[in-house]
Amino acid sequence: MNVSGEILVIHQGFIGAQSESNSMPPIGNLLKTDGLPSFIFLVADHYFESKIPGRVPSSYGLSPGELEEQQPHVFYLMRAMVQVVLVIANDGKGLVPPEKVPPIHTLLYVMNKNEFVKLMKSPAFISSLFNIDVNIVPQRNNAILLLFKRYIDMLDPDEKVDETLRLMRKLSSVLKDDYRTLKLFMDSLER
Amino acid sequence: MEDFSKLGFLKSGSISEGFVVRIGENIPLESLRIGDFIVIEGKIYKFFGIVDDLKILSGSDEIFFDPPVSEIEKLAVKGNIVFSEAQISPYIMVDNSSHNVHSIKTMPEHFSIARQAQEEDLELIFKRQAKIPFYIGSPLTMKEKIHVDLEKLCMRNNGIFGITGSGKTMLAKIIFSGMIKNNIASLLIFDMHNEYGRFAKGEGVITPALKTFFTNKVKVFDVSTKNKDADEYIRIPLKYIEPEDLSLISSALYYSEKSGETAFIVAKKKGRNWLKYLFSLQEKSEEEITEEAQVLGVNGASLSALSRHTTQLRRLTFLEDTEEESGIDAILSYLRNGVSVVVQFSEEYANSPLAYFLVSNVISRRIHKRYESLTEDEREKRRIIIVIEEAHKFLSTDLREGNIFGIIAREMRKFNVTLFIIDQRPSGIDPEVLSQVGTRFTLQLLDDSDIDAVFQGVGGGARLKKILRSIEPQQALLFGYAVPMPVAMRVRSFDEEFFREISESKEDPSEGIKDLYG
Repeated sequence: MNVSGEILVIHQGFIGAQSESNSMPPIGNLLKTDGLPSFIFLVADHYFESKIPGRVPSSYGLSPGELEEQQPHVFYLMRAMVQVVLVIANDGKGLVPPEKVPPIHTLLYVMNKNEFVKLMKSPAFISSLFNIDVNIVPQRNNAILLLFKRYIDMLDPDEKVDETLRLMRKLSSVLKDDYRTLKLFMDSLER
Repeated sequence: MEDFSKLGFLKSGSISEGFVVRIGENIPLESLRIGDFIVIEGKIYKFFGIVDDLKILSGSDEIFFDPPVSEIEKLAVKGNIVFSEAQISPYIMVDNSSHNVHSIKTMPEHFSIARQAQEEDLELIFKRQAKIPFYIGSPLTMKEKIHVDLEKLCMRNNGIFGITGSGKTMLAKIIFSGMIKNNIASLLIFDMHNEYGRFAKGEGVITPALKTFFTNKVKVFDVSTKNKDADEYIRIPLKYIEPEDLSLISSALYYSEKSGETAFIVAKKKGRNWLKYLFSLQEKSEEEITEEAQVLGVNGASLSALSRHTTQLRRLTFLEDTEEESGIDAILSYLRNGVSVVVQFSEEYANSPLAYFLVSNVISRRIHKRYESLTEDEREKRRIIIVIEEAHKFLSTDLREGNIFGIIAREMRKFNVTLFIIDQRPSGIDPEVLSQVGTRFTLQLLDDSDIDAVFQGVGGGARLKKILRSIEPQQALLFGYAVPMPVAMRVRSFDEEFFREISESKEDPSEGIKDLYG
């Protein structure tokens, strides 16, 4: 399995995992832990932090390519981080609410296609996405939308319409009290 | 093909106000109609009802400020943010194990599955519950058969109501054919428009009628001897006519209440020859009439007017100054021996309200007199059903006093004599009489007062009115004694298939049909 990140920050609901800067898992991607129960995370955001505590980056006025050539140390001093959100767990028998957050230094892996598709077809998983607290993860809706788009894009053409409808139906059930958000999702998914 | 039989689930409701079914998101709302049969599957019982309202609702008004545009968006919100409900009027419940039918005494729980009724459901509640089931039509959106219990139909008064052209006559012919074929009653049909005898002519088409199907079980009488198709003719002695008979045809005779009162006094004084006496006054002068009036103790002008009013009766050639009661005794004999009688009014009496109301009144009065005098042991075992058309002219509230048809409707059931009324203005019928009508076949009605009248004395009438308002020609709402629950139906076709089914001999169509169709 490809390691996509390692959990380094767990603080008041915020979970950050370090990743390789040239292979950060895209926002909206799903990551999982090894073993049982397997914890499933949604990639909500990207950010960079300095390896030297307290160091504030300076502005060079150069493009990323020029910076790499002229000031390569800048990148060595930065850590590429992804904010991940714990969505659900799989205890081997099925999906269950996670009882705890895995400890720091837990490795996160990319899901394979079959696992991903199976998860996306689960109503419980879709509902769990909307249990994510937007106060902790303000980019929640954006991440979920990207997740759905990734899923629809990977389907065969003859499956796309039915699955889009199924997702939209599930969304309308979950978001029945928030039509504005629902409409946003539906409009985006149709594009 | 998608299966629409499963509709949704029970969301809310009560026994008194009906059940509310949330319709599944996959069910097109337009596949449901007012009047559809619905079954709700409880744990112990199946509950049968009919759709009497449909609603579309939304959980949020916000959706209307930015409504879904594409079809996929509309489908996505259906069932969650916008949804449909059906209001069901429950009528009966059937025990799942014993299949016994009960009136509604309990109700199913939340989320009980609601589905459209299937063939086996209809058979269970209509056919199997009937002693003599008779196929009469189909539910509005189904091909399956609805059966009415002819046995129960014959036990009480019945009515067919509907505007002109709604299909009353065809429905009546179908029902009467069933009664005659199953030999459960003798019919005495006062056939105002000559539609029930051998054949009927209408809109350039000739259709067979009862005599064609049942050559030996139906006799056609006519008041006109010019009708060569009649089996016998009616002759009514003048002395059979009573003052009450003239009250019923008062408008045709330009007959006032005062004339009616005078007639009663004359009849009391002159006995059974009172009408003959009135005819004789027409030869007398006004002074002579005044003298006669003084002897009788009536007003001279009234007596003169009465004599003039009754002039029209002299033109009725079937009224004779004779002792011979031609036809009427024969009618009674046929009825008692299981033969149905159609009394027609042909040729010069076609569309004559005067002849129709007078003859039907006189004959019915004879029947009443005959049966009233019978002891319990002598009472007729054979059921007799008297069929009258334009019933609102016979049975209005104004004519309640001494009205023979009102008496038959109220009292004659114990003699096995009942009324079958066919009418387009039920609002004109005395509500007391209407309340005695056990089974009502209601075809299309447009007038609100007629719709209200049909539901006189009927529980849950308000809900049934909604269904009645959606009824189209050749459709009927049937409710009452002869069916376990109300049913909105398409009346079966009066066609070759029906003719073959109803013919006396299955191997060989009746001679009557051969004559008509070759």
